[in-house]
Amino acid sequence: MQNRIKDKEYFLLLILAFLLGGWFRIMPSWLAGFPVNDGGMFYTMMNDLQVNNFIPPLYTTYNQSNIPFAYPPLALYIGATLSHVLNISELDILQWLPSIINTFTIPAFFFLAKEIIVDRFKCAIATVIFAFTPHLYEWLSMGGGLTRSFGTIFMMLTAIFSYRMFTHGHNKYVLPTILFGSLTALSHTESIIFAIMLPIIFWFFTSRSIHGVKLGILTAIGVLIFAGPWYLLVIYKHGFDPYLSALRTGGQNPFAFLLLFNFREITSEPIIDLIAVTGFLGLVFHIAKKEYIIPILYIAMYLIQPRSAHTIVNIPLAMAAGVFFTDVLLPGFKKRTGLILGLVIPLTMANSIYQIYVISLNAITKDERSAFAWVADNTPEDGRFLVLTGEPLAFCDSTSEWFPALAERQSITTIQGQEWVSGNDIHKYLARKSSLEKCLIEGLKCLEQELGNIKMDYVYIANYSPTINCNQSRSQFLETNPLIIDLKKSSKYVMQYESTKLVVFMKVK
Amino acid sequence: MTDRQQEYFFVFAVLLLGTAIRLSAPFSASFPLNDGGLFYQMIRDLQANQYILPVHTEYNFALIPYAYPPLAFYLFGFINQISSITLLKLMQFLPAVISIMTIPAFYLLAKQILEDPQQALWSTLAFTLTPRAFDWLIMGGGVTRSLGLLFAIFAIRQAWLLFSKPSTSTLFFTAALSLLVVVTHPEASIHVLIAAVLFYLWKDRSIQGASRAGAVGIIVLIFSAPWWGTVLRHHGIDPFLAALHAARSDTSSALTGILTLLKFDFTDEPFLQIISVVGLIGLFFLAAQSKLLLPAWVVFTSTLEPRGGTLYLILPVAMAAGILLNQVILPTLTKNENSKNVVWISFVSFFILYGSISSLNVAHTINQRLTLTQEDLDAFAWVKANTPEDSTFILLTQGLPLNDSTSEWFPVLAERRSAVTIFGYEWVNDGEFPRRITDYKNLQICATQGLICLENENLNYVYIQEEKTTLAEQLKHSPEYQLVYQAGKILIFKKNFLSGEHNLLADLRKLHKEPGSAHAKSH
Repeated sequence: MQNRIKDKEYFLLLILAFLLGGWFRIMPSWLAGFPVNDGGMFYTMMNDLQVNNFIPPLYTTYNQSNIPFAYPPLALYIGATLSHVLNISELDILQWLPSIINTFTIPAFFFLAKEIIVDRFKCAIATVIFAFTPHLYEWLSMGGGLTRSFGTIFMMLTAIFSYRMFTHGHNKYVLPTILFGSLTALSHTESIIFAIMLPIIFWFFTSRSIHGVKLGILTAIGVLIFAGPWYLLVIYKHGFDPYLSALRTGGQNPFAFLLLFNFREITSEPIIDLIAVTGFLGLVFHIAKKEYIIPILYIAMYLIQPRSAHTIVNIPLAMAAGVFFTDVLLPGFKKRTGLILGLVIPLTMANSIYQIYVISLNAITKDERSAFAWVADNTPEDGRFLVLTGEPLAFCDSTSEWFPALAERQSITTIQGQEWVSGNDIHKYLARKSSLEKCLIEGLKCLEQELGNIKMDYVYIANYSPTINCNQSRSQFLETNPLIIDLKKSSKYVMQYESTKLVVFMKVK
Repeated sequence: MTDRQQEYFFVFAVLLLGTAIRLSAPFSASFPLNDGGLFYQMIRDLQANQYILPVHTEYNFALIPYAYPPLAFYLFGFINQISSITLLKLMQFLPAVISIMTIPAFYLLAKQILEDPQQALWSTLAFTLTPRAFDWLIMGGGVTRSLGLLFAIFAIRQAWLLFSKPSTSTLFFTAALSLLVVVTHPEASIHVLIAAVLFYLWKDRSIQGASRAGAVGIIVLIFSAPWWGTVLRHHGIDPFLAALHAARSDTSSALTGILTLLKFDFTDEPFLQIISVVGLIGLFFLAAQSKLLLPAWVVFTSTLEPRGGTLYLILPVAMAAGILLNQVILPTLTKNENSKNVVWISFVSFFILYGSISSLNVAHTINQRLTLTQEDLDAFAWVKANTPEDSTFILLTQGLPLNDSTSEWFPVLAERRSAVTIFGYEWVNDGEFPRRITDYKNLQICATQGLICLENENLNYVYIQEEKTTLAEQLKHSPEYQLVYQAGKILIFKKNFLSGEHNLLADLRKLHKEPGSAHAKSH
């Protein structure tokens, strides 16, 4: 009887997690009315595929920079095919598809948790925590989440089946592991690293047998057979350079482990760090019980791929939080569980709703899209633009990413795509972008100094970025901006476009 | 070691940790942290007036009634006079020293209220590592805040005893400590009253209890009369009404107070809000066990006096955190309570390390971002030496109306009038306090909006703390202004009065200022 009640509870919790978690993941795109934050490069790559009759081109036309079309293409194919078959614009695909796929990571998480934690009620609680973690509404639901969301869900499915494979030692789990491993490898570069690392950890904790090693090798060969052709094609066309270059941008450094303790950044709870603190206490609790698999997953994810770990580590963190909540906090509340729910539900809802609102602000506006259209129609196709927005961190600058895609001109500070060509130089690109953004306040002299010998034909200023250093900001576009004043006064520049929130100057030759 | 010796050793160790944290910022600074300019002037006024309460303070030439509870000013003034320590040095270090004394005081309070001495120890650790328990206390303005909290903790403890173990001596000590609170810090008095009413309702609810409380009130009223009587004689009830209105205009409504409470983001922890979350869960844990005193204390405080409540909320929240640590979290980390395993030790070490780092980070931030630098002091000295005494300055600092060290210290150290400095006006009953806050905010926006924003301002000088702003760039090129001082990020522009135009405000102030200064000196 008791079990049946718990069964009902766990099922209701899962429904709640899926519905509310899905709503939280889809809402930012709906509120923004446009793909949130990034996705400009994928927009162009989907277009490239369609124009090239779905044959992968040698280079993407994005930002006219000869960026190799080396990105794992599955999500791009899915997006381009849906757009083509259903006659939906690529922008709509980027606005909705990532968040829909991201919603399905919730049941995937439950099944993964069920393998590791086993108890269904605990897993359901952990799933609710996973569904309500604000950070997960962000990077996987944005425009650029097209590949991240597919990569993550396939990586989670790979983890589920590899866990079963090593735990039970059955051959029947090899094929699904190969299938989802291959789909991961064809979806997202960073997810591949996690998809390799997780089965190794699972083997260590559950199998440690020669048979397990054999199954692992068999799986690896299978993945190479299915996903290898794509990588061979890229290596055949471009050599190893694009992949070597991308590998150097993972953010690995000797101090990466310090990020382990940055729990607040991991969950991105804007109001109170309820999940972060519970997750941290959960990790400690697991170590105390000598159950090391979840803490090891947490640590290993950060050490191997620090750049994207802040999203993926929410998987072990939510599991740890779920177990701590059910094993430690709930018993403390005995029969008055309503009280702890009365605490947790309003706070997590408030955290989520506020974060949804903040995320939704980070999208390019109608005003900017009009300006992009003007640039596309009225400037030479080979015009080189300096795009300034007030956001010094390139990865949070949606204008800089969307400009080459929609204005169809080259932006000299856009970072997206450079990971395939720049290698370590990507850090120089990031520093240059940051230095140039400072010139909005310091004026024309600073701009000329920072540009040095870099050629540029136009300056595009939309100085009202919704974020500064990736944090929400309240900056306003001001015509009294020192750089705009200097450019207006200067005889070397002519203003060619002006709206209430942005200006475009042409450099006089 | 006996249990008691262990207890004392633990408190001593925590006290050492708290001492290091609280003194770190004053020792690395060269000036009182953040605010305190108004209090500095008030102490000097008191000394100049032979320790007789002046009618007004000379702060910012603004005829502000000398109505602030004066005990801390007397204490700092006396110490300054009998020792060779300068007043600025005292304001740099003494608030932090007093703040250290709140740690054992809190331990005594927690030990009295909580059932188990172990809970009191963990609560004391949480209190020590909570940045909000000391950040505003170690500043220059902590002259009154630190002493206020110290006396308030002792007075709250006595109030607990008054209703749980009543005796004549308890009544006497409650009255004495409450008196010290009343003549030290206005908000502290309100929080002692809130706690006392709550304790009465919780522990006593008898006519005798109410009589004892009434006796305490009468004693406090009588013995604090030299202060409030003098204020009433000089100014009537106006300053007290003004302070009430100012507090109200700077305070959110009760409903907002409850909503802010739900946010539970008041411990000022800069990284992970461990103490806040553990305290919050602890409060609900207590509620689940029908132990409602601490939850009720939190709700009472945040609804009745949300403005200064965040500091006083730390008292019940730290106790709740200590209870959750002691009863729920730590027992799960070890099977045998007597032999602590590696995980237990690691967790406690991590908790202490994390709390220490976050507290030190807060102290460091106060020192680095909120405290006057040598650059500021040099600029103030230049202003004092090179500008007419009756000139009016507009200070653009990008600060907050009531958290702006430049704006607060400028009138004292540069000895010139700052047009939008707000400090002290909470005691002026002209109904203009909310407008002054709005004016201050509007003016700070000028830094990014440009010269047009200053068109209607009556001023002689513009003092800009950030060189690279739109306004600074425009002032540099304006014929109406002349750059007269530049050092580092600080720029001072003089307004050039055109022929036929004259500084009407300066003339008016001359007329206005003279009786004010004579007034202060005559008392």
